[in-house]
Amino acid sequence: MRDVETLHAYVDRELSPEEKTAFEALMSQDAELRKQVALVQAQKSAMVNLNYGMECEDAWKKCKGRIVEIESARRTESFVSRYAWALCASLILMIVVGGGWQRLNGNSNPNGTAITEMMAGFVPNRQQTSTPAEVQRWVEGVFDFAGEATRPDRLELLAMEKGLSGGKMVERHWIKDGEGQIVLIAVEGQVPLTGMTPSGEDGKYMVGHVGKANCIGWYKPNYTVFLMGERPTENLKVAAIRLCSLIK
Amino acid sequence: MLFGRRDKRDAFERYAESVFPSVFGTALRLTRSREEAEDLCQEAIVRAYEAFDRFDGTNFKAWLLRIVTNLYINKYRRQQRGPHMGSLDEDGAVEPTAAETVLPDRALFDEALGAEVEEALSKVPADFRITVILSDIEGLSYQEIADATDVPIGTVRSRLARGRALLRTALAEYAIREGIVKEGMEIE
Repeated sequence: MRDVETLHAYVDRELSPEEKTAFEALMSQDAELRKQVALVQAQKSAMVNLNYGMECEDAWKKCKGRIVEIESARRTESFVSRYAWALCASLILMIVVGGGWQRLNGNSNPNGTAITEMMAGFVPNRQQTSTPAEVQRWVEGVFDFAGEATRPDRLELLAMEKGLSGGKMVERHWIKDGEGQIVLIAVEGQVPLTGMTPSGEDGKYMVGHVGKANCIGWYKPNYTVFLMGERPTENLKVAAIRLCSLIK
Repeated sequence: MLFGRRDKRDAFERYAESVFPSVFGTALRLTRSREEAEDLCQEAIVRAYEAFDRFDGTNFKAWLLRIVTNLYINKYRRQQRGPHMGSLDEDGAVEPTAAETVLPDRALFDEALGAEVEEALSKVPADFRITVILSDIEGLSYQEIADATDVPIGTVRSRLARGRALLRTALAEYAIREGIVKEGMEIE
């Protein structure tokens, strides 16, 4: 019975009532055992005294901060998971509304396919009316050669074609200015500017694109004019204004 | 739901704040570094908060100390990768006091200042130190210590006996060094 672990268990009040009674009986007859019990009790008391208020306010604040972080992250996570469908729907709605608004305000990219179809009769094709793909290829090919730079204030006619297309007189002019090459196509009569949208407040010029080339169109009294170039629409309009003063 | 969570947080903070000095003290005595003790406490508080729904409502301090102890054992000791600090023969732990030539008597404990006891405690190997801290400073029962350290009660008993003996030895060295007792003298 006089084993060390029982001695400690007695001091720690971890013995059953029967064990306790037996140990106390043993202790009453053994002075050395009593001394050792007293020693362990004294040691235990000294240890209990270490349980003083330790300075830990900062550490507690940091721990509280972590709890706040966790709660914040949970709230965000909960909101996102709960309203994910609404967020997605909002995003799609924004895209649709934004696209519609741009179209209504004339800032959209006009339908290039419609323009190439509309211009199918005006580009070279000896057999018959060009297909939209041929129009696209022709327009891209036109701007493959830039030629030598010319003076910014000067318009230079590089080449010109003239002929009938669908019973209408068509003229094509390869022109160069300080910013590169442009193509002017003049078609007899008032051709519907399919796929093009009005530009500017006066609505005189219609804009669109064929592939990478921007295109503007406008009406003169007896014919319709198209100007194409790989440059911003506004620059094309400047060139168009200069050309208008030259076209009779 | 939001209010329920807020209530849970308030309840947890109330519980945790009341026992935090004990938790921090234990962490500090285990790690012997204030910085590491703060990290250990933060991790333990986070774990406890996340598991608060599973707290059985009996003894919050024992529950939190169990988390701290487990974290220390699993994380910090693994990081050290050093020799096993509790490699003394636990099962055959023998109370060494009878064989010691120098026995500190109870007066030594009465006179010893907290700092000296703390210093002596820091010299006790980790496994024994944990057991002594949880029992003598934090007042946990053998069963609670067994749960916290994940060992059988028999091991707790032997570690406690051995740990206290080692602590007494360390204190005796302190007493000799400080001239409280002379080397080789048996203290009555």
